Amino acid sequence: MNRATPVFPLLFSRHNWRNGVLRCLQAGVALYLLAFFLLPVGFLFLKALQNPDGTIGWGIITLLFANPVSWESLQNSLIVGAGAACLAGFLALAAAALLWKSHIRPSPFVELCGFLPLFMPAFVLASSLDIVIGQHGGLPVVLQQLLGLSRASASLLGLILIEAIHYFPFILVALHLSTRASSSQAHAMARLGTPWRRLIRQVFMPLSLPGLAFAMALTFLKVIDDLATPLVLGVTNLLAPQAYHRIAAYGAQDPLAALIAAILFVISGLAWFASLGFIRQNVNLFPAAFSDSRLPSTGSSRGGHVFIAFLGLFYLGCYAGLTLSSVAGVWSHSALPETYGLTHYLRAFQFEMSSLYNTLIYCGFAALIDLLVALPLAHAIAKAPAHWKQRLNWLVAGALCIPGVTLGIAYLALFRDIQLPLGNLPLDATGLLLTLAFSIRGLPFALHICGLALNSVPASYVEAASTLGCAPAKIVRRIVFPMLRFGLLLAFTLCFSLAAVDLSLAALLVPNENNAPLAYSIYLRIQSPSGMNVGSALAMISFALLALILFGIIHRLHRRRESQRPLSSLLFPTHRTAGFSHEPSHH
Amino acid sequence: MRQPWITHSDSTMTRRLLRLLALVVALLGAVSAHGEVITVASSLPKDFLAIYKHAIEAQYPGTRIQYVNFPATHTVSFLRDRAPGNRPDVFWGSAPDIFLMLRRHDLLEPLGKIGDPGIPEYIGHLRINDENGFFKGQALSGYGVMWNARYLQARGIPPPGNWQDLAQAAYFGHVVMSSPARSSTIHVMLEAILQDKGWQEGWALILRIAANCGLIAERSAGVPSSVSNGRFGAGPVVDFLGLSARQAGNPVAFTYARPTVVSVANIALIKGARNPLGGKRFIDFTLSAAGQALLLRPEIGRLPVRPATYASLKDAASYPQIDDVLAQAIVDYDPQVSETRYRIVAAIFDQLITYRHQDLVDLNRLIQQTRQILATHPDPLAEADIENAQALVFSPPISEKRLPELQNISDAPADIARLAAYEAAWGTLAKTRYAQARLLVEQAQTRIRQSKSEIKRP
Repeated sequence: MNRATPVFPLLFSRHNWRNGVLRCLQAGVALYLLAFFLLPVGFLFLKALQNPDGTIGWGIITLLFANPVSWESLQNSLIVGAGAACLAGFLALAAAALLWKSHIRPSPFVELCGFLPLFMPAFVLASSLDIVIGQHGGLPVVLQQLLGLSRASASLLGLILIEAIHYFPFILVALHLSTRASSSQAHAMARLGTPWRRLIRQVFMPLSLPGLAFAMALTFLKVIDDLATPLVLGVTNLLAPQAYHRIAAYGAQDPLAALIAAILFVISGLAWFASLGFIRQNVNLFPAAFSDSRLPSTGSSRGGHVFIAFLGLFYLGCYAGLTLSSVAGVWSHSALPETYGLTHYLRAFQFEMSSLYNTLIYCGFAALIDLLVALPLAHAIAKAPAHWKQRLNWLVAGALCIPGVTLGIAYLALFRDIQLPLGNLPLDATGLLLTLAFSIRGLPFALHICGLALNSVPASYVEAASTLGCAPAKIVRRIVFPMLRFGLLLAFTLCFSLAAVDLSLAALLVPNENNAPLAYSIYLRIQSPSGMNVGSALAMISFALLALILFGIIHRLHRRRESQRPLSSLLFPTHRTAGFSHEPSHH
Repeated sequence: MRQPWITHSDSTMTRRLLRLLALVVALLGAVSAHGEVITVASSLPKDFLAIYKHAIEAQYPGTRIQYVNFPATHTVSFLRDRAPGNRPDVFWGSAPDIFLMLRRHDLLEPLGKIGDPGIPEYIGHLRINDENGFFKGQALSGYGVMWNARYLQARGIPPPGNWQDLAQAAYFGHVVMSSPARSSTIHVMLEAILQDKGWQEGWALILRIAANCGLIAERSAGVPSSVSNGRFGAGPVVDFLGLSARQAGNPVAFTYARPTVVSVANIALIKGARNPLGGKRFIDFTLSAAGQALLLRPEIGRLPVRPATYASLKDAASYPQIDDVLAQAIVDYDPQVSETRYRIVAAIFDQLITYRHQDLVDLNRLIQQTRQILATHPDPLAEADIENAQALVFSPPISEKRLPELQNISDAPADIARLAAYEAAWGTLAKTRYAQARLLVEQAQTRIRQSKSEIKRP
């Protein structure tokens, strides 16, 4: 059976009008991509390359880089992004090697915890560490005193460390998932006398390279796009905060902000395509990684468990400041709070539940749009001729590496004057722009999962059903949709959660604080005049909600453990995996 | 083998689809909720606004107050980005220069007779309402220094009495402030200093205070919160934040610092509002006896403009009195001057201080260390070097005479580009100045070392 055969043509081939519907859907998708991705970004570049007098030229670029602060920001952004990605990557590589050697299988919940950093903004960690480390100055000041650095380098190093701590679990899980299949074979080889050093060099390293490259590239993109963490730490000389400051001071028509946003996009794009070579290599090894769920464990796994317990404790410690401040009453210049109470939670529920509701609306609709766009797009990519397939993949990769700051500024610049026909509102006064921007950012992930899900529908089922005279609508309802359901749920959850933490976009596009999603409310509350307590309570509430969602996913996973596609394949969003999907075990 | 999905009957599937559909409909319905909505743009704290929201919604059932909350510094660009008829109804904020700027950009609607008749036109020398009737004073607030008593006591630092104290060596690393580009309250305080002491002297003081700062906070709220929790010792804040932090039980104190301004928190109707009638109703409430009495609540802690309201205070002694505040204020504060150079002051602060803060602090540390050595080993030449370094660093990048070149910068890209060229020049200047000053200080240190070894040798 040819698995790459798309399902939909089988359903639609004999019905021209349905083909027409499909065409319309694809045209809609194309329009959506054009209007909300290509056009804004193109407009941004146009603005960045337009001289103040209206002609096209390098005027704005020379103007921007006439200021030494801009050069520094460019350098610092690159240093912080690369530093955090390399540090987290290096540590995660070492940790993953340890886990590989000890051959343990952490429970799915522990594995999913590795994804938590993606679902909680990094500035929460920064604020929490501030409290844990001490009352005065936070991590940068401690580093400055310990290492005798200048203040500028201490704060950069502090930022790198915080981002690295934040993204380390994510890289670790990516590495662990992509290598653990070979762990038992490695143990067998070790028993036959192959030294571990050689195994790690010749087996582990090549296997982990794609996962590492992907996770590091994503970390880099997220770090240079991060607005809130540097601002909370008082680090302003980075590209994202500079662009944000300019937008705040001069509004959306500032050409320098447009240029900074364009530069961020170019850097992200370069980083992404640089890593693509590594990711592509060995990509066929990935699916094999997930077929060994019941391999017998060999050797001692105590070291691995101790290590995981240590990691868990470390992160609990990092977030202890947050937990403590959420229940603290009066807490001023003392090691522990003087009074405790749950009033902050009450206030969070009293004042900030609208932000939870906003999150549900923005992110829910964004995730729905993602599904609506991703399914036809995945289908189109599967069906497209090779050179088009390549172009579409590039386009989607472009959507993956567009920083939130860039997209936000592009939207502000392009949609500023557009009025909605209904309700006579300016477009940027509604949450609509935010929803659309969220959907663009989630699209690559949705597309990847939808592609996998579509691939997992065996064409033979559909063929068999239609041969037996089953109506296409019924086939969709009874065969295709149930088989897609888990993938769609996964895609929805992922897009929803990614949007929920997208603070850079929210900071730029939120029409007013009442319409702020949860992450942005936490950011505002953590910096409120009366202290960060309500913000901490809000962050704790969202942690609890995340845990609930995780449990829900695990529950689902348990139900479809053996036959279906693993969660981890969503790690590689730009790659079509048509060539290596598995047969369901029953088949 | 049985497949779980085949066992679903059609009716389960349909029910599920229906449930999904219901969810979507519910979401859509929630988005388009209706009612009479009054939209108020404001930079005031959320808790403060919530109290007014509840009070007004209780008084006028069926009305819903919606706040658009953002830094006051964004106001003009925010309103101009929206077409008339789509703007919020009311603007309410504590920085007077923003209101002048709004008036200049023709973004306000005249108010006419509105509010309690007991509110006077003048309190002391202070004009409460706009002379052209475009905005009304709603509350008064003064500015000063808030400090954490426990923090300062633990380090043996005397409590501050005015701005100059924050510039002293004892406060190095213990002060926190925000940038006028993102905090209109800081901007008012800096303007008061600049207008009282003059452009040159004023910037020298501001730069000295900034060089003592441990952090330039991103939002003005960062100042009171990090003083309250004891991360920093002192910082400039608006009075009600200091008062409400003390009210919450923190070991903090607040004093009005001279020179200060007493600023009138104004309220105005926006031109091109979506619901002008509702907006007027909102303004009328805030200026009524009931609306003024809300200001005395401990979580708000502002000074009402209606003198009769103070009579209702139970514990009048612990509450600041208008006369005390006015005594600290400079008489000839000119919001017009402040308004015309608003962006320039903010841009200079960012280029010299916010973006160079780490260099500034490192340099100040060096200067403090050298001064300490000089106290025990006097050396006139080294002393002169330090003086020169300080003169170089603590001065504005542009003279007051040249300011008119830059006044009235609009939002047009050409104007922004013009200001950006100045910003680039200031950024470059700051960098070279700090580097030169560093050389001077290092030269002074070498001198001291040499003279020390000469003393030892004989």
